[in-house]
Amino acid sequence: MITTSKLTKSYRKKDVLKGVDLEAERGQIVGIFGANGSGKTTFLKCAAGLASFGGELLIDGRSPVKDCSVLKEVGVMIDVPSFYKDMTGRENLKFFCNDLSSAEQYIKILGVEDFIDKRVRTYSAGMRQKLGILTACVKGKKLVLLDEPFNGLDVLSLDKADELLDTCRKSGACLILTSHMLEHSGALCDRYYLLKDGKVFKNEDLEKFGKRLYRVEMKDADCADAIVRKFESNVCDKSAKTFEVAFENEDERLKFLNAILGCDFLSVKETTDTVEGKYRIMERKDEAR
Amino acid sequence: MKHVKYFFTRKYLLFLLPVIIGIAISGYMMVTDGEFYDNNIYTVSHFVPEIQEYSSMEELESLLEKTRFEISFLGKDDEEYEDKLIKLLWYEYLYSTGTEYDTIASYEGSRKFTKFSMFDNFSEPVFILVYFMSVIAGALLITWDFQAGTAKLIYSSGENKLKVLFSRYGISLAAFSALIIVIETVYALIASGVGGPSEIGLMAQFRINVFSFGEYAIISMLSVILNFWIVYTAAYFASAAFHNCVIPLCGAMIVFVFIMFIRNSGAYGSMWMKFLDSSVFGLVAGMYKNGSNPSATDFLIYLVNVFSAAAIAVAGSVVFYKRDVL
Repeated sequence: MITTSKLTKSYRKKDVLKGVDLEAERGQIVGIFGANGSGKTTFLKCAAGLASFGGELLIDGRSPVKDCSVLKEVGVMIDVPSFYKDMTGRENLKFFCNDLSSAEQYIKILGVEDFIDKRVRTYSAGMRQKLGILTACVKGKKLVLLDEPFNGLDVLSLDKADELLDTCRKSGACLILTSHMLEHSGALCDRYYLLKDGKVFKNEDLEKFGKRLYRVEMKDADCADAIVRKFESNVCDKSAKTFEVAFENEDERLKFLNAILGCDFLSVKETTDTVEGKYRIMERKDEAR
Repeated sequence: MKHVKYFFTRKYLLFLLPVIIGIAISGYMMVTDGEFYDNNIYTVSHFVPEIQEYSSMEELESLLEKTRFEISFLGKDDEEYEDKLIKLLWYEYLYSTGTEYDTIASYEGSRKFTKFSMFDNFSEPVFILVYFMSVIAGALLITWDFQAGTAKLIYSSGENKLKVLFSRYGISLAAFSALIIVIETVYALIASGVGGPSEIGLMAQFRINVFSFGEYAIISMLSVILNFWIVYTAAYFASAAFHNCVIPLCGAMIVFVFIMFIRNSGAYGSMWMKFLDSSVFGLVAGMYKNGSNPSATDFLIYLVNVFSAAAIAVAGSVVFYKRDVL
């Protein structure tokens, strides 16, 4: 559906994307996560034909810059959703979408019947966010690009948005979303990529960064220092009596646990295997290096 | 066709309001001035220097001979040459038509020969209004999406960027042109209603023509439309290139100040009009009255304007196409 190979993008001599390779198929939800400024939104802009790029980016085998007709079935929501304020939500939907066959079904799933016929001028930020997701999903029969789709949504709206995205996935669309709500988005995604400094790591690649992150609080600082010295290469963070360590290797992890058991510690917390955990491990290991 | 609907949203209709108000004011001035030339057959338009009063055809003939004699001593580079030549043409015209001095409307002030003038009462204010309206509307029509953020959806819709650019340009150009035609037609009808006299004008260089109201209205309409196309095209495509209307609007203001400067420093009161409006007016009038033989100067000025606008349009389109939307 969408493939990129050595995708690059620079703004005023600053390289934002440095050879991103990504692949997503129809019927998949793919998440792109990363710190602020890591290039997530830039990636979506390139895919939406809104920015030029180097390397290769193909949607159904066609470049959105060279052959923009491929974008006719691509739904886009980038940054804050913007619409014509003098029109109603439904009029905006008609204006921006070529095929409205799924509109009514999606309106019901997202639960926006109450305000879809009101002028956008009267909408709150959350309402606009919902209209943004709706417009992208209705238009994007093949591909839906969503930048921070869950921003400003309450808990119930989040559930409805999840249901809508899942319906899109089942209808055969490919969805690519970026988000800082890693735990929520991670659970929704079939696959995810972490962007760091314009480069990308697939979720399969991230396994090598290890599955375990431990946050340990010792009774005294000397004891903490001794453990930190012993497992120096695994330390992510350290303050007087508290430190964090991450392990890629199972043998090293067991050695660490044995070492801890012989010391006086107040607490040991292990993070679960979430996107957030992996992201944190990657970031902290990198900082420690 | 979706761009047509977008174009006629409330926001853009507001730009038409100043023009409609301007027309209403112009129409009022026209009607109130109508009493002024109850007994006059002719009025004189711009660029005609003051002529001496005469009481009979014999006196007019002697004025004609005197001017002809004076001009025979002047070279083409002489300062007075143009004035004398125009006076001579003027006297020749009045003599050939047997026009008595009393039937010509007298003038007041230095800028115009009569209170009633298509230029003063209508073309000039409409030109100024159309100038600003077209610059602002043209600049905002293409850049508003970038300010409001809707450009993300417009330019990821699958339609070619240039198709969006040119379809909006074409639709808005046609809509504004239609508006000018309606306004000028209404004006022509009002003018006919007050029984105004024919207008004597120096159309194209050194040619005196007499126009009926209908002819005058058509020429004025074409003149305003041709000028509008130039100004609108330049403003629209420059804004498209910048993705921002501020720079083109500032540019338009500088051009306007420049025009005002020419106006105040020109040999005739309305030289500034000659710079843009009158050149087109003269061009159209010259072609209308003299077939395909308009004034070379008017034609040249208009060509320069057309090529400038075309160059801005081409450059603006290329930059717009190449540039990232976001």
